[in-house]
Amino acid sequence: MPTFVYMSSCDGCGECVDICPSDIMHIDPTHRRAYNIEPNFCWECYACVKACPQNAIDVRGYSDFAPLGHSVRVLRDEEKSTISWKIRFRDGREKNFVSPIRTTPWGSIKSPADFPEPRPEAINSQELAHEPQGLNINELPALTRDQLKQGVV
Amino acid sequence: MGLFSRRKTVYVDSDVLVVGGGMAGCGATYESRYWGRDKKVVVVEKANIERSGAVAQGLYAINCYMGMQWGENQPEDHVRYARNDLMGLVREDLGYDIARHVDATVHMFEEWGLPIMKDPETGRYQRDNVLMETGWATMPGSEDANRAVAKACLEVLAAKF
Amino acid sequence: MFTSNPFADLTAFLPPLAMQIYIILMILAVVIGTVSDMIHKSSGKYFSQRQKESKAKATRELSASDKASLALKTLAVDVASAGEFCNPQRRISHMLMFYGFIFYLATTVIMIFGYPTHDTPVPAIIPLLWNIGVIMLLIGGYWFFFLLRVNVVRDGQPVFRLVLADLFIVTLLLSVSFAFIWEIVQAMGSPLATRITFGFYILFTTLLFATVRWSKLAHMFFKPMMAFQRRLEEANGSSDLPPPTAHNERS
Repeated sequence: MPTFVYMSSCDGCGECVDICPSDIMHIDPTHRRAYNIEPNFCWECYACVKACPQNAIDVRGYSDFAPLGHSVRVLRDEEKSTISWKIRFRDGREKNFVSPIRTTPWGSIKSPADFPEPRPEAINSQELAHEPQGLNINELPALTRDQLKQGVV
Repeated sequence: MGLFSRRKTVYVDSDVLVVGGGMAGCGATYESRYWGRDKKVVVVEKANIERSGAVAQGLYAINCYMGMQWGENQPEDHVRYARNDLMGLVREDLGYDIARHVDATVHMFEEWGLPIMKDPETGRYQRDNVLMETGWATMPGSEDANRAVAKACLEVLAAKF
Repeated sequence: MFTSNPFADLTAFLPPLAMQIYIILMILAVVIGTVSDMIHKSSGKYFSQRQKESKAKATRELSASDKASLALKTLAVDVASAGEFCNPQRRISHMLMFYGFIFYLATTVIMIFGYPTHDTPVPAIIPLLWNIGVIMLLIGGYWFFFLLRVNVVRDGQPVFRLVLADLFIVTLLLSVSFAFIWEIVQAMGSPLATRITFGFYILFTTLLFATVRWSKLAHMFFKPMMAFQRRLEEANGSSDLPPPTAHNERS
């Protein structure tokens, strides 16, 4: 089932409005809180669920695979760089999962401009950025025209 | 937004205009900066670049990683796999081209912070033999895969709209 | 001007009893509005349902003193320092409005009930606090209205496109703006202008308190209860949310 907002927990910060890839999270004109304006278009990508600082958004799984009375909640902690899931079944069983979000510090990604400039003739070659060293092999593999004509590669 | 206007028109000059800021758009942006150090690159994305495109929610498998560095697969193996999967309806040359570049991309993802499960003894990427049953899928812990790539792209940009 | 009771000057044409009855009517209007809002939304029923479910799922027993300390924490963090707001600008603007409103209301009641006429002069601190409250409300309120409303900032709507959610802030700002204008006009001495501006002040104040059923005013009662309930659920183990995690050392 698509995302829905618990209006009592939502404080109208607009993070979900900002992050939704489908542009379907908007602000309700009566309460000035967030709501999903087009559940049919919702991808259930959980971007809004993870972005909400109040954890006010929830998604209910489709009933053909998610058992009734279940609950799936997620907590994405950007400072600690972890994402945790709590899954409850209706018989009381609980499963907890914790995963890392990334293995390097935030803001540590180098711009491509920080790498040495490629050789001028490389732009006309078939190599992409950081190749062939980035492949960890000596040379980019190549096909010759005749190879394909033989049918089976 | 102004007091009386609903939408504003903005005129932007750029050397490279990338429409869409998903995986492909961010990758194209990265490549543009790598090859054109002094070019002005502009990305236009309708949603938020950190959660945009098909990988918005994250990805749970990278099915195309060769492992050429460890001699695991070659691009030909991938072409064969794809042809088998799609019952012969493939462009083998395009499949070969995609496959031979993938390894570098995945290595860059890992450098950007994407966690990928590794075999503790050999240090190689673990392959998923259970869920996808193909033995191809590497298993990233990657709810944030899109954001990792988007952050790399953001390093490049002069402006994003 | 800022240290004398502005309501005392009104006693020239308005008996203090009328002002006092008006305040009581406004308090009644807030109560009726809040209760009818709760009945309409069945929020009482759903909230007590949530409390029962939480109790059933609880894994830890909480003593009365545990609950009391959670309540105090809610008051101190969520109510007094607007702790729910992550955006610092929204938090500061809300606190300006919150404390401004409290000063303004409390001092109004004190002046009208305690020191209604010039025969009972009010200590200067009270009207001073009244003015401070009004100014805080105006600063926080106009800042919020023009620069911080989420439907303007994040959803891109034009500033002057008013929706039902704006009923509270608009009536509040109009009421308090006219309170300030009336006080100044009254001090300048024109009886006609005084009555006109006072009339607008009363009009918008009545609208503010009479529309509680449809405006967001009642959030001041609902939000703290919800904040307390969330803390309770975290403490007694019934919360559906995952517990806080350890830090990921690699990042």
